[in-house]
Amino acid sequence: MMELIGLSCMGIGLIYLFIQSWELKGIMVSKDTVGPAGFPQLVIILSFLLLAFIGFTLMKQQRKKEEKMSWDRKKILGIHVLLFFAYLMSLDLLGFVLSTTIYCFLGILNLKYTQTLKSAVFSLLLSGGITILFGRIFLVSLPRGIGVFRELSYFLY
Amino acid sequence: MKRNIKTLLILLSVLLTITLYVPAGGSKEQGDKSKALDFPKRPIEIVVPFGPGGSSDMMTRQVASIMTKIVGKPVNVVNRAGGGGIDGMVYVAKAPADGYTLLQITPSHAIATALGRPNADLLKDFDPVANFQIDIQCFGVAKNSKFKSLDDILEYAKANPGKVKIGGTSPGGLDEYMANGFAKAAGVQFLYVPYNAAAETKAAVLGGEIDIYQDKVISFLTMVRADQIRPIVVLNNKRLDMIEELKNVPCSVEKGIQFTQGSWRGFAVRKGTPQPIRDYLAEVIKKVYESPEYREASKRDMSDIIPGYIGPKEYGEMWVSEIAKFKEILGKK
Amino acid sequence: MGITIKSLSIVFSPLSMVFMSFGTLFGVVCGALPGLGPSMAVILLLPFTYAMDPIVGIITLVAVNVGAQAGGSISSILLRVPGTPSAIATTFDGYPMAMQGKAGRALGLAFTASVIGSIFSAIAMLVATPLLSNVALKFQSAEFFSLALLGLSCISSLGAKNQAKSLFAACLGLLLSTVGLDSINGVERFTFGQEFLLNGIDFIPVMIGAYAIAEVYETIGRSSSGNSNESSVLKGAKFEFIKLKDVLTKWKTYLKGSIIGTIVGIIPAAGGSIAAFIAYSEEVRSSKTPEKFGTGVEEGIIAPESSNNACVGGSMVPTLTLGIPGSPVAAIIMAAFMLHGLTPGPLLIQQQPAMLQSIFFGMIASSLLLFVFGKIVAREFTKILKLPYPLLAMLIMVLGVVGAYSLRNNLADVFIAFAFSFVGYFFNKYGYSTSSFILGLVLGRIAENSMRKQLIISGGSWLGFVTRPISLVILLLSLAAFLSPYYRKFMSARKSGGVC
Repeated sequence: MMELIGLSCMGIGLIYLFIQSWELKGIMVSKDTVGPAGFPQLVIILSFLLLAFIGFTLMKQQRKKEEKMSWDRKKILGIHVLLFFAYLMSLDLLGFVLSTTIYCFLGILNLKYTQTLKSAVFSLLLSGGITILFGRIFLVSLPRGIGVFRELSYFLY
Repeated sequence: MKRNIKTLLILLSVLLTITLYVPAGGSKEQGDKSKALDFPKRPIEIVVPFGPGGSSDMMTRQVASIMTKIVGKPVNVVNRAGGGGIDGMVYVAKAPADGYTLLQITPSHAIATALGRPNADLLKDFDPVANFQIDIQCFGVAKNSKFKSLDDILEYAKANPGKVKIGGTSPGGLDEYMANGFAKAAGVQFLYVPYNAAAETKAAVLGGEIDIYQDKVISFLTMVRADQIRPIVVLNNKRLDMIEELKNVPCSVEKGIQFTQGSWRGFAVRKGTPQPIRDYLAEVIKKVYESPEYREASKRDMSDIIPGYIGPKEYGEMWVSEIAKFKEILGKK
Repeated sequence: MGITIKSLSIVFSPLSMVFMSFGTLFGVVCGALPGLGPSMAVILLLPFTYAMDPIVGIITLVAVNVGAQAGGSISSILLRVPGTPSAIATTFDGYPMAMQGKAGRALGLAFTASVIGSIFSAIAMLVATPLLSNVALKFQSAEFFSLALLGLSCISSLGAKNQAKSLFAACLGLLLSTVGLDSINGVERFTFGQEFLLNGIDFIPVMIGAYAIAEVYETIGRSSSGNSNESSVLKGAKFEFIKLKDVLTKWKTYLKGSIIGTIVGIIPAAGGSIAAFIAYSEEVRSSKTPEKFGTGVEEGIIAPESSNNACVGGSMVPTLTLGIPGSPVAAIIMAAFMLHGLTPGPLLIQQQPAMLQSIFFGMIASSLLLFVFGKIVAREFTKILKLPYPLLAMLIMVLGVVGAYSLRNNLADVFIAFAFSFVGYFFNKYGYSTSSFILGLVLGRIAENSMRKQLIISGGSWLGFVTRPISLVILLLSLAAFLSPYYRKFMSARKSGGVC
């Protein structure tokens, strides 16, 4: 069932892109016969045909019983994803070191790991280690956050 | 497990000590001059809006390493490639206007402005610091090409409009502008074929897929010296007498083709950066430009055949005139 | 003879050995860390070579490249995060092997293949440089297009379980590759006014999301106490040296991978990732059991790893003889030549007669060093697997974020990884081939671009693809590769049909 829903979402997306692709017009190279829209349109048509085929076979098939994920697992996975999203959003506010430490710590707790001290040390070590390795040695300019976090980050990398 | 935690803690403390001490060590060597200004207090970042390894990137890395010694603080190079230079441009336009984030710029940014790309305007969002390198564009043909000189090509192109193929990188970018601008001034029509990388263009001309190869003087010369390419014209108002290989190559103006264009690479900061800081940065860039280290390096890799330093005021005027020029040829479409 | 002795004395002098060892180690580490590819590794060490003797400087940089190409396999195998673009194909079979408790063997195979690949290409470079440089010029737009198709042709084998789903995934990948500024016309395609989409969607963040992060979701969703086969994974995590006998029984795979890598390396602007895909495709095509690929087949590691390292030597050929860099990394090494005041091209061999042979010996030496550093670095990285799963999961998540971010120093790429983690999860769950999807994404741009370029050049005629001999041969090969699973199915159906 979920698969069918996913496929129909993709189908709608494909139709949308196909409509969009008519707006693409070549302006600069005159001899470009395929044009910027040609290839994507071909691919969209192909994928649509395949999508229809997959969809029909699915519907004809007797519905297999899907493995049900337990409610507990679902909750953990959901929180995991939400935490991850919150982490990504916080990167530009709190800067890399702080948000990674917090995210890592909460993430480990969420996965039902019981040793709190160890997970705290691990979180600190992971974010510290990566900051030094990437930020200091490899000179990647990791997100610094805003305001006071930005100022503080300059002490680290 | 306990022992593991212990080692972890020791490691952590060692790492922390390193991080806290390294910047402290650097700040002691601060020069007297910057004291009045109190800049820079922390590392400076130069954003290169292209990938590592290109001519912009190589130049900036050279500048950064010399600059570090002058300002007494680390100067880091950050690559933010994407969107033909626009990604990095947008990033710097959003950074604080405190002079700690410089943008390395090229004609691509002037073209983006001329084309009115969203979120990117060189004149509105940036202040000039200084230009650092100037390049001149050259056209050439493969050694075994049926064309021997510029006149050959123009004659053939006049008889067969749109048949002469010229390569270049990035569509709608500087290379295409130069190909079309030159053709227009010469009264002919070229077929422009865009490639993804300069290496592909070179292979395409040597393999006979395209007729004309165009490149910046530095990279062009390596191909000439490798005896692969025969130079046919230099897009300049006078011959490049200082280069042995290009002495006898005509320039476009002498051939009656009123079109000259080259590439340039300089630095800008976000608009609103305080004047003293901009002046300071321009001065530092000038010092780098005049430093014996850069003199020597640029002599070796030939990046300074045409003197490149342009101060902030003149650089700003140059932006305006370049953008106007690009608008005229590209903007109409 | 004098030149040989001179280059030997340069390469094996204590100082250059120190630099090369450091370069190789640095390369392996950089390669193993997601987001920092060979280009970054070489450019970070470039300033240190300014002060060196030109030859020592160049061989140090080549050593970095050799190390980085090999190091990428470590995180591909252990974490399912490709350390470098050229290690993507290694994840297909490397990670499943690690999950079966054969991580150490997988790493051993990867490094052995890397060593053999680099040594082979070094020899090819030394012996046939002037000859091979012409190969570079034979590959033009039409041939690029055929090569891309050859790389794509293995999708039919990757999706042995469900052809339609595999093809569909590949099509989505192809479609995704068209996002961004059109490289022929400069038109913005499917960017919706977002500037981070202008340059297209890079495959590294997509892979990190669809493979590594999706895998974490799945493990969390599946088991009650982390990964259940933890102990068996650990048992086989010790780096295993591959016996010579083992190598000899699979000599064909090593040799083919090395040859493909060398040739693709010579072609300008085609790097290790394409070489690895083509080698993988070819291995699948010629295999007797193509349906097993993707489940942890040893050949599936050997082929891409030997070919991406063989690219190193191959890419030096046009760099040295024509002044045309054979890969993005070679372009940086070429810049290093210029910084030392050397002009790559035929003159170089005259000016610096010891250069070519020194690079040759340097490559051999750094390949042998790979065994040592590969073992050391791999040992340190396998320790990660000993972490309890909650910690390991978070480590993968954070490393994935940093890897996606450091590619272009851009948070947008991290969000792309986030978005594709769901796509990957969906694909995994319902048996769509994520590998086909990635293949389409990587090769789509090359295929479209070179196809349209060829059409522009030929004035709109499609004949160019079949009238150029090399292009025709490659096209036929890819057609054969694409159809071979169908053919096999047809044949076996006929056989079994007779019995029923």
